[in-house]
Amino acid sequence: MIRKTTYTLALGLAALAMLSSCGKSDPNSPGYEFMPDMYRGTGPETNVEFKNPYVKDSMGNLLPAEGSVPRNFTVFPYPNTPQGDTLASKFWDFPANMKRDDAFYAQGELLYTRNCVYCHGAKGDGNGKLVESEKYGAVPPNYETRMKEGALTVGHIYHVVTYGKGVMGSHVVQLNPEERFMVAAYVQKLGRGGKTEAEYAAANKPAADTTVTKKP
Amino acid sequence: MNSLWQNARNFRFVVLLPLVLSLLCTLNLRAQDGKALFKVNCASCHYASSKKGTGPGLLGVLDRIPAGDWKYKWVKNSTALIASGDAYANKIFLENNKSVMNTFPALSEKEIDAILAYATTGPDEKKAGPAVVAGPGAAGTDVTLNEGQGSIGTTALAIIILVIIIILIAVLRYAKINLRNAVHSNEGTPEEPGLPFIESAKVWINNNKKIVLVIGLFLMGVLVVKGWYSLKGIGVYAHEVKPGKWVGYKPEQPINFSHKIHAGENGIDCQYCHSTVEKSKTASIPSANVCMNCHRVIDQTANEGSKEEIAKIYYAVGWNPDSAKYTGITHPIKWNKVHVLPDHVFFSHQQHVKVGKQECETCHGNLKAMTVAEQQRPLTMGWCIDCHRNTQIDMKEDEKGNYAGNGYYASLHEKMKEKYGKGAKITVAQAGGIECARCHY
Repeated sequence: MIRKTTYTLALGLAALAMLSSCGKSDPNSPGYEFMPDMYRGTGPETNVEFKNPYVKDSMGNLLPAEGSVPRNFTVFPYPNTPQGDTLASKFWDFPANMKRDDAFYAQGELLYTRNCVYCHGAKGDGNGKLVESEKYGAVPPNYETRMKEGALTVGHIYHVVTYGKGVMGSHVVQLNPEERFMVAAYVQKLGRGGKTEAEYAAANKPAADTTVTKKP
Repeated sequence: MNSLWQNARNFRFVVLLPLVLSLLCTLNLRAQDGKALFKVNCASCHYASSKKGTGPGLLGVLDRIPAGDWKYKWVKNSTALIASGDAYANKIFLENNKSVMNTFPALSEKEIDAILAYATTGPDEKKAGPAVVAGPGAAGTDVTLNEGQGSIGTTALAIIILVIIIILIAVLRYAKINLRNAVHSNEGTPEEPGLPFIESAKVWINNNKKIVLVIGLFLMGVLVVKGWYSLKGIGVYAHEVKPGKWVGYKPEQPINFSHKIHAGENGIDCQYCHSTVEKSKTASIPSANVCMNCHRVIDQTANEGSKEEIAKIYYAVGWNPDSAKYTGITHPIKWNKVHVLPDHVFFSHQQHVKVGKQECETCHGNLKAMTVAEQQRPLTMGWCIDCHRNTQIDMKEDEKGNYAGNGYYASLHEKMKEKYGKGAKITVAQAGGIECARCHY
């Protein structure tokens, strides 16, 4: 009789222990869905797997048709070659109707801190956080030096942001054409030691010649 | 002191001393100078290791190149040297995809010596950053992306154990009956007629009512608790472990990407990778070329397993780290979406982040501390509505009572001023943020 009671008690304890572990769920499982047909759309959706025999790799994120151009898109006509770079730095400039006021530079600074600062540094001296900690092996150029060499033209910056240069990759997906001009304006500001175009022109009369082409 | 100045030999010594000292200084500073000069002039294209950047790695460069003045001519104006028809110059020009090296006419021969002396030995390998250490063996050609097919699941394991137990019981029971029969035949007593299984089970249940009760209660408990959690979890990918603390869907990803390392330790802005969050309904999952902006250079880090994980990016984007070229053969990465809203809900990131100025943390939790991304907010309708009821719209006014906040709300500000009076605090709900058709249509 005693043996039976112990047996029963042990079983009860085991049952309790098992119950307490019930609440935990598998982190790999998204759980249950109430009426799955309302949860999952039939059409392709961004970032969601899309099972369709006509779609390769069941990708929901697909590229637009080749050659399609978004509305109001600024076409950059120079190719990803050294010659393209030289031509761009000669002929590519801010659009005539682009007002470069304080808000424009502020937006440029925001985009610069979001996209460039990790390597190029807050002052544009090529001493960003990743370079300083030596996590990133390559060292970017100093903007002020490049500005003095006359190489830091709008067209050149735009070309580099669009196609990348050396080990720097293209930032086309992150920055649209307008934003690239904002970044270019801010990079030039850093190259002038923190002076905007107007401030710099006022400080150095006659205005310094910035249209010197890059050395071959 | 007087005699010192009068003595011609001592005078000569005084003149010579700074000269000798400065010479010694230059000798001492040479290694340091080489590193500094290398970083400023060369490091954007060359590594002081065998790894290929835009140009070739410079480890052991002095053993490779022709002796004599060749190095000075090359560094100062490589284009001219190639044009002069120099055999070695043309050879490396072709080897490096005809990419033109910048000219450095301003560097003196001494400086070039210092740079090459630094580059040819490389930095102290043990102390150097991982990006510099990497050797040529960093190939990523034989890796495959893990698509989340794990080992045997817990359920399968439980079934296997159950089957083993049942087999064990059956075998033991068979042995017991056989033994009993053997005893009976030895003693010559007649065999007891064995009861059929169901009958014997009934007898056992009658004799052990307490155990049956406990087992019954246990099964009922399991059903109730499991059922309760399943009902509570329907359509919710997270559940509350204690008030305010939610844990939930935390799927294994094809690449062990850590938000903690990237956004936390290295301080990369969320919007560097999820760049469309202010421009689109959805925040983009970055394509692999965004990874390559940094990982073209960083092919391994101090973290364990980093090399294998980064090799997965190379495999996905089709990058050959040995030749530093894209192969053109790409393999899409199938990330698992963590924060999922049902199809019948409309949600726009642009509206919440750009217009409403909400932080990412509000809905996604502190990803800067998460190694594996996890859903830490319920994302239920009640939760959305709560926030819409409590969040105020930016209705800033200047001294004259004109609208001075986010331009998006300028016309709304006029309407709300009429309805609720000047300077009233307006929540999202008051501006129509809890109307059905705002999210469901």
